Amino acid sequence: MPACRSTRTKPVAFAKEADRRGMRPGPPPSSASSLPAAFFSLIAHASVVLAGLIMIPAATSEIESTPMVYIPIELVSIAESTNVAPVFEEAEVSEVPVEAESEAAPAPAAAAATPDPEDTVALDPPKPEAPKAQPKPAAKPTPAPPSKSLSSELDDILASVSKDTPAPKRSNPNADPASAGTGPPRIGVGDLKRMTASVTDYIRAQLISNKCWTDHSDMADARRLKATFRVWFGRNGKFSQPYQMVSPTREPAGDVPLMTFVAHARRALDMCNKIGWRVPEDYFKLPQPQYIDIEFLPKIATQ
Amino acid sequence: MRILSLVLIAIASIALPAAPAMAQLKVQVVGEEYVPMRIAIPEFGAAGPGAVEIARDLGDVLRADLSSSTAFSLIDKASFIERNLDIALPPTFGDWSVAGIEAQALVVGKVLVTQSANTTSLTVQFRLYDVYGQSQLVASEYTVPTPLNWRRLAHKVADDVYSRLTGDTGYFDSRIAFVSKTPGEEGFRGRLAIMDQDGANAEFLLSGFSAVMNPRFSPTRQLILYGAYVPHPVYPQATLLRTYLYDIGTGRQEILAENPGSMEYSARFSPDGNSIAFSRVVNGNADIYVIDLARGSSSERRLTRDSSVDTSPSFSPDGSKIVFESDRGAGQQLYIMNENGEPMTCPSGAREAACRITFEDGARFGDPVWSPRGDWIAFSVQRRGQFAIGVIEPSGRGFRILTDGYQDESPSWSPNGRVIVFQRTASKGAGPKLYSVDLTARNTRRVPTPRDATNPTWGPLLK
Repeated sequence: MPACRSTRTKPVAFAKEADRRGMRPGPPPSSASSLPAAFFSLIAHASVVLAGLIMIPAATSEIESTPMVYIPIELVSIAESTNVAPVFEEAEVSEVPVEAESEAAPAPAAAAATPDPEDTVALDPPKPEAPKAQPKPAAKPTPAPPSKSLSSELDDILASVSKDTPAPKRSNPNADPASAGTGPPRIGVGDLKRMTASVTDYIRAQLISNKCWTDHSDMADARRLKATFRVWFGRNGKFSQPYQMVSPTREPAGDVPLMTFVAHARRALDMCNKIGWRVPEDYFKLPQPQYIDIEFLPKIATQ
Repeated sequence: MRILSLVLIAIASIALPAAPAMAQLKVQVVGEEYVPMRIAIPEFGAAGPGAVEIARDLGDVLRADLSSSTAFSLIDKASFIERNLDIALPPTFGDWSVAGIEAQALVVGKVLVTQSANTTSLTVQFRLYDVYGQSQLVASEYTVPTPLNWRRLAHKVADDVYSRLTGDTGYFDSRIAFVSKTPGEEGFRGRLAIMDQDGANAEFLLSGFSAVMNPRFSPTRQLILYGAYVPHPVYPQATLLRTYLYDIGTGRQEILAENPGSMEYSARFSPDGNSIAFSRVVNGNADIYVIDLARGSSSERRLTRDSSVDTSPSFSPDGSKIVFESDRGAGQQLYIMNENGEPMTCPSGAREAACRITFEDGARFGDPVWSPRGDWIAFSVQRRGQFAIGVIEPSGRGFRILTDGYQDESPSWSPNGRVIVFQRTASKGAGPKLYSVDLTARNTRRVPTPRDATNPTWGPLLK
């Protein structure tokens, strides 16, 4: 009896401990009557483990922004022009892609029908790239490097943004981007965040380095002043449609400091638009709607 | 339970990757550096006898006004592409935004001199454009009955431009009173004088020299308070400090305070101009009082009851508080109290008669002046062997020194609270001059005066 008691006590204690840990083992093998339940339990646990194996990497990639498993293949198509290739560098140059885009505009419509955006973080297909590469393949192999005349500050940021971007595979640099993948490019969770950050950093840097937006801390009651505008960029380095004031929601006619601050913000947008935006390619790969809310603040408001 | 877990995992597997797709792009842009706005002011058009000269001079004053402020950077006229602009037609905006000009604002104007039977009137028309926005911001016109007033018209136009582009009211059509000193004069001897804020049209207000001190402009009217030492009625060898109220328009003045048993000084108007706060010394103890100008001495209220020296009161723009200097704590520091003398809750949480807002040991703070905007208090401070001008927020935050010289003192705010005029003695033995500095410590510049000058006080905008 004592021996028998001892053999039964240990499994019970183990089971309780296992319960607490959430991984209770199956019943003792001596119990023949519980075999079907054990089999079912084994199947169920295997399912849980399998689900965990699938899910944990995805969740981790979101938190740590590590590349997802399927990224390298999908990003091959970006290799031709890099993620941050400046679309607008000089006024004369900027006209070319505009024409190419407008001429080729009807063609990509068919291609746009191919992606299935439902089960992925779908992107708009890079419309201008495919038509641009097909009719003029000779022009593609010499991607223009960033102009040396551009401000070094912007170039530094460009370089840092490029550095952050995972290097695309260059195993086949002359490959037709349109035929590189069978479906539309996909963006992984971490990549979306990285691309978003690169776009916003870049736009911010242009507003500052071009002195479109300067400090207005000396305005009356400057700490409360804030204005947000929604902008849409086109591939020609200009706004693709008129910007909209998001905040304040309407013209602050009775509030002279805020009204002036809003006017300063408008002037900043107009000024940088006149100069021309260098919009990272990432911007055009982001999910719709492709707009950016720009919040203007005086320095004193952040201190 | 296991089924529930599986369901949750399945839901999570669908939801997690999809969430970032809804992320919005938002950029927060903070101005890193202050950059003056680039403004172009081509020559004004002219029509009528003598209009060309007036247009040229008026344009020069307008440019001088705007370029003297920190807010604007004037574009060289030689670089202009479009010339001889017609005020009736919109400018070619592209010509003003090209590289090399890059004007953000453009002023186009015209001067008209009209002669009738007995009068000659002067009219100034102008338009202000936003070059990058390609829009008109202001279109206005001023007429005066005599061309001699062209200078004021230039200041008015400058105020309009400044106001529209900065959001603050202008300050160019205003005057500064000061004590004019003849080099070699000692002590308080000097003459009360007044000039335009740019130093033009300087004139003496009082005939003859006297021991004038601490003139203070009314914030609402062309009135000046000042103190002057006069012979004591009982002891002719001694002097007595009188406080006068001087009306610039009429030249009349009246004695506000003269007490043989006490001394009143450092008087300053309330924001509505209807009452004044001042210090009274009795038996060596100075306290602060307030008096209603209309009701006279019967309305007098004593605000401080402290054995220390409390002086240099200055009202907040809403009139509810007073900043003053006192040596009640460690050294001479700045304090804020309620205008009604009631205790107030200090930032420390304690309820006290007055809250201390400066805390620099070894420094002596004085001359506090509350900004017309209410957001800053200017002061002079003696520290590290020098006198400096600084500003601090009423909460005690934001302490910063604007100028630092051998002896910078007596700050006074422009009507819009953006510029401070002060007195500077550059070195030992040098005569005091007037200088101005922007609230942001930029653009320290000399305000020209015919002679040495002390105790500047900036008046309100002219009407």
